[in-house]
Parts: sequence; structure tokens; C-alpha cells
Amino acid sequence: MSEAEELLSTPAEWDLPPERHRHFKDVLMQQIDHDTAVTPRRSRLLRPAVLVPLASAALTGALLVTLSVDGGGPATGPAPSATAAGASVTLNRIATAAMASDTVRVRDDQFVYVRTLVRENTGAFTGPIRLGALHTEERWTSQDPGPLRVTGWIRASGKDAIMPGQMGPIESTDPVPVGVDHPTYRWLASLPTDPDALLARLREEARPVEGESRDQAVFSLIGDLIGGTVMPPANAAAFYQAAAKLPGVREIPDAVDAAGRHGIAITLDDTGFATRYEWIFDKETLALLGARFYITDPDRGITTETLAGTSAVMETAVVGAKGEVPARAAAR
Amino acid sequence: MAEPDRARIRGGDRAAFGELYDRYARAVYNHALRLTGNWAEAEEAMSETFLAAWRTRETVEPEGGSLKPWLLGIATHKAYNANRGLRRRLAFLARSPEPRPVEDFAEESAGRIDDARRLAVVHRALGRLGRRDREVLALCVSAGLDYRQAAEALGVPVGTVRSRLSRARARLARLSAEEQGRTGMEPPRAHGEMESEAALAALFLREETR
Repeated sequence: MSEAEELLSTPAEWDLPPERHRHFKDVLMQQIDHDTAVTPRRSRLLRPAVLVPLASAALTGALLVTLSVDGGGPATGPAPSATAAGASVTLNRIATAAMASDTVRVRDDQFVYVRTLVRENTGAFTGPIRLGALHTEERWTSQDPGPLRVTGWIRASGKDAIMPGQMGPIESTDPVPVGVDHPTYRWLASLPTDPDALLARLREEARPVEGESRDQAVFSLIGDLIGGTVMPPANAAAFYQAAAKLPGVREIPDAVDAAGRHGIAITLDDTGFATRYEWIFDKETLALLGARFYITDPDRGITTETLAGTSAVMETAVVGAKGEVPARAAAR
Repeated sequence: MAEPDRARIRGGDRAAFGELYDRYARAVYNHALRLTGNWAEAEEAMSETFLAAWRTRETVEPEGGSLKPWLLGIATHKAYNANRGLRRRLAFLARSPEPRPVEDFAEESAGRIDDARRLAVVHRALGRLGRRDREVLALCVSAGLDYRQAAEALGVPVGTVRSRLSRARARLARLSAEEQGRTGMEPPRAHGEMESEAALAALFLREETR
């Protein structure tokens, strides 16, 4: 047999020494461990929404609730009754309230600080949900337009927190430019304030995962973008007005956030997809309180809709550096 | 090393990715080597392929056969990027594969120099073709994917793979003829020393795809 023939007839002619293979396998495993331990963006399906009252930082002080130690989080249960008629009306009221909120300006060299209370799924990816204990999560989101490998920092504390008390980077392998994965104040401010134009833009930007409709992906994307960010009131209002135009948005008259605060929830009709988000708003001020995240996945043995994550926004601020906390939080 | 289940890969199961690495690292490395012609670039491309597989695990179709086309598709892009980067940095390396650094054992080093020479034969032959021709040949002929799998790897319709492969073969045939005309070499035989591009081209032409 000729040499060239030999080269091609053997499926894998060349190989690395075993120690090189061990090294590269180790690189892969470390990345997996890193992503599953630190990066909350590991999967859209499994990531509980962390939502922030955008452009309503001034309101959050009034909404602060003192919590008991064990939190009193919501229990798993069937989907609450929902009404479609009220959802658009409510979202437009929410938009009006957002429009009336104070303008907070954010510079490129600053960080948006958000403190939330969260309960997350601590079960295996492929098994049943095991909701962990309520704990605090703080995030510092960089406003540097980048592209950045590290778009922010996260610190969790309390029982069932991952790496409690340690600052961990929110990191990507490839540098991330401003956009849906790195939503800075300036980028959000550059988006259309006309709801139809914004919706068209979001439909382009949304990346539906397997089995997800584009509308569901847009709804999730809006949740991602109004959470953990600060933006001008006109942009915030446009996001809610855009959401009001999505087919299948529903209002749930009473929902509870991770801090035990009751409010009105907005969700998107379950159309067979595995997950459902609810955004929860204060009944009086219409400020965003937090979110709940449900999952139904018979392949994982989850045959009835089960609460898989919940959050409550406790504080939003603009700070000068990562690790810096607003005065009130520092005094706690 | 069994094929890891697609649902486990999609679900981000750590052990499944370990199995995926054990099963396919060698095939990915070889594919990257053929396309980059460079040991260091191929290592890097292989490592990046598995990291990218992890990051994009949700894009794996829930139903389907071997995960090899998916991995080789990623590796094809990584190798292409590596080649571009390499050409920017050190133009000559892309044309002349360097041997791996010689390590502890003397008997191994002889084998590696031989490896380098053989790699050079393959890479030179593929290097004279355009990117699309090269990729389809590396996938269908060298890596042993069928039309459907190659289509999956490259993200193109099956018909496109078929037409690219036939075009690539025609080009190789022409190169082969030119080579023989220039050097006066005898047509390739079934035995003996054959390490020119012409010999390799002849092999590609004979190879039946499944």
C-alpha cells in the first residue's frame, strides 16, 4: 500500500501523546466546572430570570422588605389562573409608570449594581427540581462597550449560594460586544423607543432555542434586558409596550416574588415549551419586583409545572467600580 | 467508548462531555491536522472545538446519529480560523508543517519527523485546492463521513456536498495530470513510493464515498 493511501485509509493516523490528551480534556472539564459553578448564563432554559426595576431605582427603597431568615419563598404549585384581556392594559400602565420614573444616567466607566434575593434549582440538569435556599446575589455589570471577555461580576452569599462571599467574573470565551449579551445603558438607550420598531428589532435579535417559538424567545429576551439593567424611562416604557403586543401575554392577578412580596404577574401562554417565566410587578407603583420561573419537562420526570427559580430585586444602583456597594447596603 | 447520548450532551452532562472527548478527540485532531498542516494549530483547534461544543451544546439536534459530523463541522471552522490567523502571523508555516518538538525518547523523534513528512504530503495536496473543496475532501474522504454527515458538518444541503466533492475531484485530477506532465512521473501504481500530490490526488479520485 502506498504511503498516501495509508494516510487516508487509516481514519485517525496521527495522535497526541496521552499527556497532551489529558491536558486538553482537563481544559474542557475545567471550563465545564467553571461555567456550571459561576456563570449564571449557562443555559437560557435553566437560568432563573433576575429582574430589576429599570429606571426605577428611586422606587426600590420604598419597596424594600425585611425578610425572615428562611425567606418564606413561594411553594411549588399548579399554574395560577391567568387572564389575557388584562395583560396588554396592565403592560401599558406599567409602561406609563416606567416613563414617569426618574432618569438615571450611567457612564461607560461605571457599573450597574443589583442586589437580588434568589432561590435556584440545585438539582441535576437532567433530574427533578430541587429548589435551594433563599440567598443574596449581587451583580456588577460593566458599562464598558467592550468587546469584553468579562462583562460583569457576581457575588452570592448565604446557604446554597455558589462560592459564597467570593467575587466571580461573568465570563465568556470570546469577547462580547455591546448588545443583547452585554446590554449597557448606552446600548439600551440607542434602541428604538417606538414599540413596533423595538419589537421588530427584538424579533431579529432573539435566538429561539430548540422547541421555542420566536415570540417566546422575544418574551425571554425582554425579561433579560429589563433585568439587571438601567435604561432611560422612554426605553423602559417601549419594552413594556412591545411586550403588550406579543400574542399570548397574560396577566396573573396575584403572584409572589422571592422576598414574599405580592404583586401582579405577566407571563406568556404556555404553548408546549418546557419553561415559563413570570415578571412580577408591584400592584400600586407598578415597579418590577422580581420574577418566577417554571419548568415542565416529562423527559426529566417533571410532569406538572414546577417552580424552578424565583428572584426579588432588593436594590439597584450605579457604582464606580466592581465590588463597590451603595451606602445603605454597606451599612447592613 | 460508547457514543454519548444526545440528550445528555444537550443537557450539559459533564460525564457525557468526557466521553465525547475520549471518543472523538483523535478524529477531531486528525481532521484539524489535515486542514491546518500544523501540529500546534491542530492542537489548539481541537481544544477549541470541544470548548465550542460545550458552549453550543443546545444547538445539537435531539434526534440523530453520530455526533462526529457536529464536532468535525466545528473543527472545520476552527481550522479555517487557525489557518487565517497563522497566515497573518507566519506565512511560511502554513506551507511547511513543522515537526512537533522532540521530547524524551529518541526512537519517537524519528517517528515524528516521518509524521511531519507525511503530514506535509496531505496538507500540500489539500492546500492546492480552494477552501470548500479542501473541506469536503477532508470530511468525506479522510474523515470518512458520508454525504449526509458531511452536509450536517458543513451546514449545507446534501446536494451541495455531492457537487463540491465532484468538483474537488475534477480539480485534483487536473492537478494530478499537470504534475505528471511536468515531472514525467509514471502514473501512480498500487505499490511503491508514492508521496507526491499527484499520488494523493489519484487516491482521492479512486476513493468511493459511501
